[in-house]
Amino acid sequence: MSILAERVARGSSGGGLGKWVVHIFGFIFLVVIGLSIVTNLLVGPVVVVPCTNGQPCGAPPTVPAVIRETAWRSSRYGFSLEYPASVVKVSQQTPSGVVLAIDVGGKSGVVTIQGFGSATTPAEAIGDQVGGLSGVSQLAGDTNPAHQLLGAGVGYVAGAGRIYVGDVTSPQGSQPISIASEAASDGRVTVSATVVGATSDSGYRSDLYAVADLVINSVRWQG
Amino acid sequence: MAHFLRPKLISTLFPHLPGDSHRSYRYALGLGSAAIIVLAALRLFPVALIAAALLLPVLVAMYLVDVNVYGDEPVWALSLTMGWGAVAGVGFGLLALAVAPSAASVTVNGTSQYLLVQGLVLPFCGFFVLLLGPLVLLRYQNFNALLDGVTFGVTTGAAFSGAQAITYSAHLMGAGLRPGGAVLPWVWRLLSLGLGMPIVTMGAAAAACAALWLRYRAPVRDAQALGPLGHPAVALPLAGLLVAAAAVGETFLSAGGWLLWLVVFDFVAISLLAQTIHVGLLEESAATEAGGPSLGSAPEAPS
Repeated sequence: MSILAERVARGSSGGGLGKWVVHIFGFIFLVVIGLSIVTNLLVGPVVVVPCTNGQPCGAPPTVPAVIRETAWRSSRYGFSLEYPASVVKVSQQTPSGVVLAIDVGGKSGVVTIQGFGSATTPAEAIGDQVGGLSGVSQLAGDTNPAHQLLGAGVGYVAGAGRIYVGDVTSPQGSQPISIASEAASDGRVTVSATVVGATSDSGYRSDLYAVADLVINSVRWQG
Repeated sequence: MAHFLRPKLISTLFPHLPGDSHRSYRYALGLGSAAIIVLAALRLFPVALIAAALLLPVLVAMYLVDVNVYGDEPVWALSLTMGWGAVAGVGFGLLALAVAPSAASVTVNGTSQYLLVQGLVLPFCGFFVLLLGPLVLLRYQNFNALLDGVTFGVTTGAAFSGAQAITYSAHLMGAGLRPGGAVLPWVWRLLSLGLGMPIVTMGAAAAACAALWLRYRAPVRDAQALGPLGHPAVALPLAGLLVAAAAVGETFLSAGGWLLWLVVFDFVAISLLAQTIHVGLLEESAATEAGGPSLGSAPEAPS
């Protein structure tokens, strides 16, 4: 027996919808779902035809003039890289790697360059680096063919590459992010590079990826 | 005591609902929740997010129509509850976006950056801002019953939570219909944003409004019925802290962990609200038996 008072209907109009509640709710909810599908189709990105490896795929994105190239060297693994200090700043660094913050044209992201021993394969390096990202929820591989990395590599050495999607979340909601990671090995050291940015700031024609490409291509292997 | 240990969600959030309608609302809630899970399983995450954000607001709107809570003055009463909640939710969603660290920064420095502002300050302040709408209605004698305060709190809280989640996640719409992502964490996340967090907010807002109505609108004999919990000076900060404590769990827990965390806070909020509603129902029964003014009586001038 409940110690609470019995609940009473509010006047004669209480419960007017009666048994139709579920039907009406179902109808309204279907309308909501339908409208949100239409909204998504209207504001969603245009479908991009995937590029073919080795074939021309449109003009490359324009990037800011590369001036004041600044060098960074891994004291542990010996590889080095260069970055345009006008749009890239060192965020964190260790003897084996560096995190560079990119801010170009109001679009921001980070590229993490990390060295590993020769025992680590490029695929393992990618997994290690992406797994170490903090604050990413709903992380999964991006299966969209148009988003895949073609000819992945680091410092002009061919290697492996993978694309992921995820979200950074807060109590208020979610924001989608894109992650592009590639790695290569010269037999003595494996270097991986991971680019992270908001999905709206990312993509193969984005300024963020263009600057990240400059940095990744600038990697010089030891010796 | 058993009732407090097993709070009933529908009858507590929708106290004017006749007993024979509870099952229909439970089915509707279950149907909506199942639809969200199915949408997530189909990887239609943006659609699932909108559906989750609107699940409780739609159910609340149906309840308001069903029991005719606003009587002859639905337009401005709706404006000050559901309308104000939506406006405040959009505002706080935009504010949260403006103060949020960049996605890239979060992946480097971790979600601890969210702890203070987005985990504690914004939920706490947002809660008090959403109460401003119902507070205006406190002046009107036409809405003088404690259960009116409860309904206004529930309505405003639902609209606030839904609007905030959609606004903050608006970027997701630009990522396409099926943007990719792990399904199971998405399901936990959607249930947290669509049910877990809104229920805490609705319960806390309703309890806070009930304390205000108990203090300024209820008969003197009822004013002390809830002890310290019925005093606005205690109830309002407590409700705000409840919402902030529920929200902050997101900054250090996994998606599934946050959902479990929210279930605990939902339980606390609904249990607190159930005690308040008990007083309101007794008050309503006493008024009916005494032939006093009913809740749907003709409008009166602001007091």
